Amino acid sequence: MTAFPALTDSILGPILIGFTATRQDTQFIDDVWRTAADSVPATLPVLNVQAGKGTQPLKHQRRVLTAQGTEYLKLAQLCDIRSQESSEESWSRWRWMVAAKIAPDDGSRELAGRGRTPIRIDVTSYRLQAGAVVGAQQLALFRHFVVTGFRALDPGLVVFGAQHGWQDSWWPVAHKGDQ
Amino acid sequence: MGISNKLATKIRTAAKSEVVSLPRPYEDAGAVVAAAVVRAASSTIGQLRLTSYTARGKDFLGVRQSRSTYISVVSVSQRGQSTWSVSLGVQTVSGWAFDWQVKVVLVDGATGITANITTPAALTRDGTLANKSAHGELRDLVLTGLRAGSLPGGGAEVAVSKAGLASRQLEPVREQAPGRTLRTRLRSGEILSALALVPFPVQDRHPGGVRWRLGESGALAGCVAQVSITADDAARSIEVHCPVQPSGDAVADALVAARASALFGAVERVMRRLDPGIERTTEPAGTLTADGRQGR
Repeated sequence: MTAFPALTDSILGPILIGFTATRQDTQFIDDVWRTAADSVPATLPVLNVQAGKGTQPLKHQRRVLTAQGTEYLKLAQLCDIRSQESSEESWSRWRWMVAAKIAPDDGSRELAGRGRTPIRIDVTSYRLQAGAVVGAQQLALFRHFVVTGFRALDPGLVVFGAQHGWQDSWWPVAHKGDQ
Repeated sequence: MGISNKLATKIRTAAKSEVVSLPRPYEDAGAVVAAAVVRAASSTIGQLRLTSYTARGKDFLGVRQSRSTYISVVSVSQRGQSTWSVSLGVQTVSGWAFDWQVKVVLVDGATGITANITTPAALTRDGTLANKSAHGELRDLVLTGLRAGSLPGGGAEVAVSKAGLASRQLEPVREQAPGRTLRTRLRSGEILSALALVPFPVQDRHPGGVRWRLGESGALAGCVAQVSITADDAARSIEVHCPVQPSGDAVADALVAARASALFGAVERVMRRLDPGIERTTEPAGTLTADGRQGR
C-alpha cells in the first residue's frame, strides 16, 4: 500500500479523494472548485503600495481566485486584489496556491479504490511568517469546501490525507487596527 | 575577514548533488515523500522567528538597516512534481527582498533519483550570507529527509498550521445575498436534472424544487437554501432563496453569506450550461457577486 501523509491537523498536506464519476467530462471538478472559491469570505487588508518615491496605504481585497492549470487541472490562489487591475496582476500577489489534478498513478488508484477517480489536492505554494501559515483560515476553508462539494456530488466519497474539516473558532477576529 | 567570509559563503551556497533513496516509481510515491520532506524542512525554518532587512546595498551607519528590519517570511513554491523553491526574506512595496533562495530539483534517472540543491539567490553583508544558519539548516533537513526516503514526522508542519489557525485575522467581509431569480426556457425535469449537479449537500428534493444545506458544521450547520420552480406559458422562473437571520457574530454571518452567494453562483452556472440564454431577473444587492470572483 502506498504511503500517503495523513496529518489531519496539517493545512499544508495533500488530500486524496476517490470520487465515483457519473459523468465522463471533468466539468464537475470545475463546479466544485469555483463553488469552493466563492464560499470563502474575503477580507480587506490595508497594504502599503508604491506612490511616486514614497509609499501609501491601500485597501486590498484578499480573496480566492481560480484558474486552469497545465500540469494541474485546477488552481486556486488567495490573492490581494487592487481595484481596477487585471486578474493577471492580482494573480501575482498570492498568499497560497492549491492545485488539483486527477492522479494517474497506481498508488493513488489503489488508495481511491476500484471504480473511483483519484483526485489529488496539493498546496503547491505557501508562506510562513512568525511561525504560522499566512492566510490559514481561508486556506482551511477552501480545502473544507472542496471536499464538501465533492461529497455532495458523491456521498460515498473516499477521503485521505490532511485537514479538510472546519471549526468556526479557527477564525479569531483581530481587534480594530490589527493587521 | 571579508575574504574568509566570502569563501565561507561560497562553500555554504555551493550546489549539492547526490543520489537519494526516495521510493520509486518517483511520480507515484517518491514525489509525495519529497513534498513532505520540503514541507517539514520549510516549516521548521518558519518557526525560527527570523528577521530580514528590506534595505539593500551598502549601509555604513546602520540607521536605515535598523529601521527596515521585519519578521522574515518563508515562501515555498512547487513546480511540477520535482522542483521546489524555498525563499527567505521580506516583501517590500517594490517586490521581494530575498536573503536567500534554495532550489531543490529531483531527477529520476537510470542510476536512481538525484537531488540537486542550489542557492540561486543570496544576500551577503561583508561577505556573510544573511540568515546563514537557517540556510544551512534548511539544506541539511531537506537532504537528510530525502536520504531517509520515508515520510518525515509532521510536528513542524502541524505546528505552523495550528499557529496559523490560531492567529487573529481581519474580520471577513459579509456579502449581501437576498436571493436571485433566473428565467429559463428549460422544462421542469431538465431544471431538476441540472440542479442535481450543484455541489451542495441536498436536504430534500421535490417536483417544485430542491433544498440544500449550506454546510455540515459550525455556523453553516442547520442553514438551508432552496430553489423554487414556477412555470408560466413561455418559461420557468427559478427562485433561489436563503432565509437566514444575522446572528451578530461577524465570522458566522460572513460564512453563511459567502456560502449562500456561492450557491447562487453554482445554480446559475449549471443552468447556464444547459440554457445559455438564461436571464437573471433579480440582482443580488451585495458588494461582491459570485460571478465577480472568477479571476481567470
